[in-house]
Amino acid sequence: MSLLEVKNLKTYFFTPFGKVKAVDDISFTMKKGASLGLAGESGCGKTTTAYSLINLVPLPGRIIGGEINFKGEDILQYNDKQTKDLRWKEISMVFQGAMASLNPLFKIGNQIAEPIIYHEQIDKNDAMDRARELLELVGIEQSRVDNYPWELSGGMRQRAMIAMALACYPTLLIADEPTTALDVIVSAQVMDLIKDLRKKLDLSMLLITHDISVIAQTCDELAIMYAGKLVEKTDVPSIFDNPLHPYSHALIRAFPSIKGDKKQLTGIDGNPSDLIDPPPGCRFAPRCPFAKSVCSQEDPLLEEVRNGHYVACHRWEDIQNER
Amino acid sequence: MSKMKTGYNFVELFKAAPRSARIMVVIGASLNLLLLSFVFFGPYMAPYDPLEMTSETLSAPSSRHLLGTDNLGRDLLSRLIVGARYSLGISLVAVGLSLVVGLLLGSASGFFGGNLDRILMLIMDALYIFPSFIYVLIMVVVMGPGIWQTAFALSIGRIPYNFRLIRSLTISVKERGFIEAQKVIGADNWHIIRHHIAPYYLSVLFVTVSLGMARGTLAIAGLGFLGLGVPPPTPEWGTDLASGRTYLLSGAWWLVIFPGFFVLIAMLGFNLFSEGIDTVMNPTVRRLK
Amino acid sequence: MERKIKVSVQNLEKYFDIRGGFLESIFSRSEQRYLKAVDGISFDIKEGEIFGLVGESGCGKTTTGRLIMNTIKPTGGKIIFEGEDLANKKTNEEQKALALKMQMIFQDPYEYLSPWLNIKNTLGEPLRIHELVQTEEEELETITKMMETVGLTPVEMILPKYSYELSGGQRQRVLIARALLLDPSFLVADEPVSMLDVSIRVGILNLLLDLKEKFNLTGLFITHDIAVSRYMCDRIGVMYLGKIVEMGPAEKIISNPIHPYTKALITAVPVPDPKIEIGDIPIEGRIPSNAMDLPTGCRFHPRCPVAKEGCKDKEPELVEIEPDHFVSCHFNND
Repeated sequence: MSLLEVKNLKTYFFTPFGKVKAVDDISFTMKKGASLGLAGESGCGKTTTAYSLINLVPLPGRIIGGEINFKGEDILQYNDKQTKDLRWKEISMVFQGAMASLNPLFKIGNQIAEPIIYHEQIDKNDAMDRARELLELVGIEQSRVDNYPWELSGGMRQRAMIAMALACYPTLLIADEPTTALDVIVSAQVMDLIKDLRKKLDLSMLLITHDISVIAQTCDELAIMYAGKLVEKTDVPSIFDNPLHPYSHALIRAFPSIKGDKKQLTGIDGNPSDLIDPPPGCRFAPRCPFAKSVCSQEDPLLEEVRNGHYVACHRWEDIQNER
Repeated sequence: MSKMKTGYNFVELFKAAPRSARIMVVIGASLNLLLLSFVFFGPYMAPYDPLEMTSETLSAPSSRHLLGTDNLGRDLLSRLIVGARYSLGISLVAVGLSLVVGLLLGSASGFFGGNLDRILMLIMDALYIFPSFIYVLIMVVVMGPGIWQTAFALSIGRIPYNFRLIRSLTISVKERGFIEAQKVIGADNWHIIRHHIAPYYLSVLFVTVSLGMARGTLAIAGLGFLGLGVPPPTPEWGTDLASGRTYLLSGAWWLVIFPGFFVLIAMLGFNLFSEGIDTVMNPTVRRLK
Repeated sequence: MERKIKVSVQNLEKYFDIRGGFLESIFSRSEQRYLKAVDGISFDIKEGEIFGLVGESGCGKTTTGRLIMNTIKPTGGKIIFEGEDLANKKTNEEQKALALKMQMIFQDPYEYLSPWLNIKNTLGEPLRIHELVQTEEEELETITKMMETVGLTPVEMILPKYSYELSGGQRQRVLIARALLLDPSFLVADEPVSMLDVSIRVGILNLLLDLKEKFNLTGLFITHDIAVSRYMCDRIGVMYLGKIVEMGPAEKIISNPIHPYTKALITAVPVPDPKIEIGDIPIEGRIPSNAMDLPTGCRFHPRCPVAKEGCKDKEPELVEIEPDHFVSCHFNND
């Protein structure tokens, strides 16, 4: 049985300008112990997907359709108490921008201990002990448990956030752009830490990022989103070897590399699709060099075209043959 | 070389604003225009000479004297219309003066910083401490009551406020990227202030002027009420209100109600206008649309 | 044939005085406290090449860019531009004239465009300031040509818009167009693509490379992304805490880094290829959060895996260990 099964998830934002179809019918599964990278550019819906998984979509957003089956149960049907129990104990999240996510008025030890006390009804001292252990787990000296967030560097704050997310030893960890605001070296150290912790704690992980290089180095599977839709999903080696969807192909080719031959990079023409009034048919069609008439008429469905390899494209086979 | 036009278009902004804001602007502006016309054309609009005493003392509103007469038989309507010159006019001068001074000093202080800024801040903070009334009282005691003294004293009270407003606006804009970009493309300070910082001022100027007028008018009426305003027999809303009080118990309600009403209309006009115009001109709202 | 040197930076220093305010500077008897953002760097940019300044945040690369652009003044050292010392440009006219020779594009295209001007006026403004056109028609023609060159089309649709109505990529093209309208021969690009979406970045980077050829530009490219610097730059200088630790041709440095910091940097960069695994990163600790209390001697020594006895005593010099490859490290030089 899969750990997580998302079925036809729809999360829209109801704004004065119209319905923003941020996540528009996506489906995917994750097995226990898996690490899935969810990639895409700004506005593709990956962060909204993450927030939907813990039912924390900010207003004016609302999950309006689909199922999220976690360990066999649809968590969208949970009542308040069940949802609160789920959060942090089963699924927890490391948020984007640790600077803004830590409360500047409280010591980090307290902030890490807080969810422990809330969920596990143990007394404060025990919780603080665990907080100290967690700090050590993420590579921060235990003595820092009494520091305030502003006394820590960017990398350390990110680690503190990870410690906080792991406080109740969740099953699934969602990391939303954990390295975006960090320098290269610190970023690599944090990703190393996450990989390490995954092994130690047998964590399943959903990594949300626009940087597929990071996914290439840390995840087993990759799913790519575009304009609220899932366009391709498979294991990491397959997708880098032979991306089937034109967008995946273009995205991968848009990252300059420091290894190997220096290649000419090609970007993608045009602009990201409008989420309020998306074009009919495939949303990538206006920018796709392989688009034919069927592409702007019918929305392609996500289909399993090879073992474990899903693609949402009308012409994937033709494109393969052309290459 | 073609003149540098800013892309700042009031008509576009107005059309883009929400309905409630547009209504407020229209009503407020109409009232203000009416009152301003009293200020400039009062004597021609008044049915009678406000100083002319007749034998019809303390008569209630009638077809001949629409708002009644006071204890000396003077037509109240005429007095109030011409009185606008003083109640509003002085305020206008005070606001105008404090605005010009505040604008110049505030923008210089904010833009250039350094010791100039430190010294000006010290001075302004010192002035800010005292309520503006104090300046007026001092002025009245030293030089006696009078139009120009009152205007001048009121403006001193307002300068620190305008100064600080413009200064903080300047400081927050000055650090923005597009200002640095201006320097890189070779614009000089004057160009930068005029084309890139000034538009920010415009968006708060209307509000400051409008609210300033409201406060000023109230202050003058208040002074008049206390007997520190323009000396009789000059018509002024506050003084008339004060003298009208004496006759209230005798039943001459119109001597209190109508002067108060004119003050109310002025306040309403200015406040409505400033609220509406703020919504119209506020850059954040503009960007959303 | 030796190319001419466009920009020569010599022992450049920028120290920021970070004592408290007005009163503290008079009454306090504490010593001067300085933030040494740039602490004695030297490099040359040859005509026609793109030189990259690469480093993490706080290394001083952005400050260096602004020093070269003359928007802030150095506290020590010299910047020689086309043979002339920038410090000699004292009058307003001289500084204004520099705008016609050197221009800059910035990281955040939204911040660096005025919200009050539409695109037509934004692009027309520099032409008017320098009186480069005589009539409105001439101005429109010049702007239109530039917009087509940088890919801001359709022109008629974009001209009346305001910056907030354009996409990130379009805004950056406006910045580029504005800079090039003054026909400079030298362009500084400060992280021009870090705030753009990945698929848009490539378009802008390729555009910059094209424009460099077309307009014969010399460039200084500032970035924290070493992979981008490999794509864009001929030579690069790696900066750490205000100093250049390694400098030379981009390909050479990236394929064979010598300085321990450069090695760590290269090892840490994620590669879009799952077959290549990042090994252990040969570095300890983190950048000192208090950049005012710099380590003694070589600034990198507390984090250096090969630091030896002499490293904390003396600062290493930038030495040419092979033609056009400079390294500043005791381990390698001694």
